[in-house]
Amino acid sequence: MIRAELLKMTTTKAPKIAAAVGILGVAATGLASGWLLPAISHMDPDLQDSVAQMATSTADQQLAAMNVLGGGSLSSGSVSIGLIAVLLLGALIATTDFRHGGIINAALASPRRGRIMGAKTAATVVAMVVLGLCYAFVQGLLVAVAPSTLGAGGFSASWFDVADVLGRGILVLIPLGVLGLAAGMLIRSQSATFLVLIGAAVADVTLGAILAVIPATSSWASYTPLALVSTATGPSGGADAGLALGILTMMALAAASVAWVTLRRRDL
Amino acid sequence: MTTTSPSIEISHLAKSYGSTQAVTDVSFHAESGRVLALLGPNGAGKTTTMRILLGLATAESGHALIDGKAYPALSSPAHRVGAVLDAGGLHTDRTAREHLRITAAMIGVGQRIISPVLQQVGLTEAADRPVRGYSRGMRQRLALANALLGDPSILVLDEPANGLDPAGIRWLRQYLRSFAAQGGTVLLSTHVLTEVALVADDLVIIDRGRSLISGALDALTAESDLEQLYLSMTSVGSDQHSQYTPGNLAGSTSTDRETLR
Repeated sequence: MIRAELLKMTTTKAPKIAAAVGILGVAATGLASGWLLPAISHMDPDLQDSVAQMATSTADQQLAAMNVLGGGSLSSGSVSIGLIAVLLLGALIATTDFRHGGIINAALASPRRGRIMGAKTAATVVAMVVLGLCYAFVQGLLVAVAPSTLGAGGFSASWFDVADVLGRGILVLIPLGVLGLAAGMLIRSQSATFLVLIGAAVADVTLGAILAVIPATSSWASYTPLALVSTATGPSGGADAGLALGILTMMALAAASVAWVTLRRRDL
Repeated sequence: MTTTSPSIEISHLAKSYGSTQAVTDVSFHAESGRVLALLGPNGAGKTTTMRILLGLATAESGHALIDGKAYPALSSPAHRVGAVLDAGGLHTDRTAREHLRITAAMIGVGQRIISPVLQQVGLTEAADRPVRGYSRGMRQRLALANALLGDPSILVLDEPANGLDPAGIRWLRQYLRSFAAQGGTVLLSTHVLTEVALVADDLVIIDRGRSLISGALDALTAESDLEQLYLSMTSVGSDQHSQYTPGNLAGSTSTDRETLR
């Protein structure tokens, strides 16, 4: 069943387009922060300050810029193209079957619907790891060859720290992809799932901002999904990153469980 | 009809969607070596009955069994039953061969069976072209190929002749007759009378969610032709009901007379 789900993904255009858009988004954000903004920073003194913050001269700055979801300080805690692509790829793995009737063939081949959900989840994990490796490669490469990195004498972060930051970034894509998958299994309509996911991502940013400005709830702001993604992929790592990754994984498992129960009970 | 044990047994099936009663009371059985046609107008409950049989929908009452078991309880269902519903499950980006590779991976059969099955349904030349360029008939053939991959002994086909050209219909008819001749069981739904007359051994007429009559086609049409029988029993021919006399129906093996008006 897992192989069948992977074949479904690789024999249609939409998942490849979603992955390509995500990779291009990560690359474009990295190019903007590493090349474009420094190149035009002489035009505005305020921009020079911002560019200085985005520089990758030191090891800490290089690690901070290696957020696999794109662009380090340009996207941390907010909605990036890379993140949206991950959510939509997860959703596509679910909704393509409903849209084209493939779920019927899957249910005929495997009447136990838990197997269908399990296979789709496993395929999502594989897809996210592959996509995460692509994101990590692009992000790592762009930081390594960025003008401010080369200008400071080259890459200075340790390989262990680089592997830690990029590895956590890849791991974070898995629960995000599974959340997209679960949304697709629950909603079934492709366009409706896309709208819900994009809306939820934008609403998360708004919610985080509202929680942050209210003194009584400011500490909760770090537990919205996007804030958890930011913590999990951040350069500091440690227990906070592990906790954030754990909470995201629990959210994804809960969503996948609800999707499984719904799939089991629904008529197809 | 032969007296072998039924491959498919459906008894007092009922199913509603919200306030719509899709199936009220459907009962019949299909035996190996025979083609059973489920005949009824659009919306009669044929597809819902098939979906319940295949475990895709849950019945509110009654049961639908294959070899005495519900479809989900079969150990390897795709090797026992091949099904075609709505010629669906086809993604227009994929080729026929890719579709069959996916199905083969799902049901756990080797890839070597794909080429012979493509040949069997006459799609060898188009096998590596995307489905978006296929005619409706070619899609039906591909859907049938999907169903045949597990080498099943039972075929459940929902309106299989839809979209087929005359040559395709002839091919399908011959294929189904040969499948049954080799001991297979075929359950097909249709609303085309000529299709029933040419391919079926047994007939179930279904309307408004109820099976109205079932039995061997020869016996059911011994004293009236199929069209007359169908029109007299269904809502399609309600204006002709007065001409129908149940008692004259030779060979009737199972009639829900209460449903006749």
